[in-house]
Amino acid sequence: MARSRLPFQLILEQTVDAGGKVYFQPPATLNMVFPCIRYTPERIDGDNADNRTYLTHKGYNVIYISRDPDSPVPERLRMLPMSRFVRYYSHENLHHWVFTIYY
Amino acid sequence: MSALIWDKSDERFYQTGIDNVALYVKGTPDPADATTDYLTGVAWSGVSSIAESPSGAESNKIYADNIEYLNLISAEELGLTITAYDYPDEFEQCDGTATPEGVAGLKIGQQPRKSFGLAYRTRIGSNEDGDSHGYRIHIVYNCKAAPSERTYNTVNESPEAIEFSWSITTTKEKFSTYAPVVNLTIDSRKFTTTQQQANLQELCETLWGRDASAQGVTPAVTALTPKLPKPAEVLRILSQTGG
Repeated sequence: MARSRLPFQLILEQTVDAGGKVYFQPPATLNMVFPCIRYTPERIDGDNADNRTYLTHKGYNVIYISRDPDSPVPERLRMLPMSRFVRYYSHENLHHWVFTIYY
Repeated sequence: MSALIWDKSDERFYQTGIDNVALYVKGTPDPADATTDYLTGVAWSGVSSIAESPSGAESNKIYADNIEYLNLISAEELGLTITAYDYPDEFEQCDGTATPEGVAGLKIGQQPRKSFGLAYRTRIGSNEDGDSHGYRIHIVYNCKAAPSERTYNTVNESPEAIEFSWSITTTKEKFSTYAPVVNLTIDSRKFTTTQQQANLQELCETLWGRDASAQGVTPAVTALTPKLPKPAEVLRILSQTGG
């Protein structure tokens, strides 16, 4: 059975600054409140044994979006186990830090 | 006789995969049962590969009278390398680990290693049927596991499970009029008649066990505990004629 996503949601909620929001697969019509973490499933990797997938590893695309370029949240996200910083970009005066995090 | 034909569409076979790995620790489960030397089999989940490495059978030429007088062939041996993400508790005694009675969870290393047997299944695929054309049952007797390295790595950016690996040596087992053997393989494609298929089914149920049928279902089927039959017993099961 695959690992539940909800504990990961809690970890992200604890990582983001007070008042920050965490959105899972937000629809395009949603007006997000910043700062926030937006995350979506990105990949599912597996290890094979016994002619089937024996272990499953879920990776999420996690984007922290903030108007503060010096926010400590990206560093906290990078410190999570199995976290990899992918890239940074700025769009409409919002700073985006993109991570791949396995959970 | 007609000419040879290569690569006919329905004769393009290959082998792949491994599953149904069962472990049988050496011992005597029932003194009245002379058909096995092993305890009840257990499922070994998480096996990613078993490499069979035959060795020996080396040529040793002897010269006399200015000619090659003899070509002596050394005995053949079989070694295995098992890689797996996990192993059953029963394997620990084969890997030099003892568990004292009444102290759950305590493992004592560097203890004597028990012998064990293995049964596993590989697939035979064909161009037309894919991977499910047939299968081979592999039975290996008298295995001993050698100590192997385990590297516990830090968690990093990517998920990574430790893949354990064991080198296995084997000792040959007597087998009626044949030379002593270590492994048997059974090719399901060769069992074509109803009786032969029943024999193969019986061997599978002997190796991997069978659940009892649900109440009220006819014909009623009794449960079978998995066991590793001696080579002579395998031969007996597979050569039944039903008479």
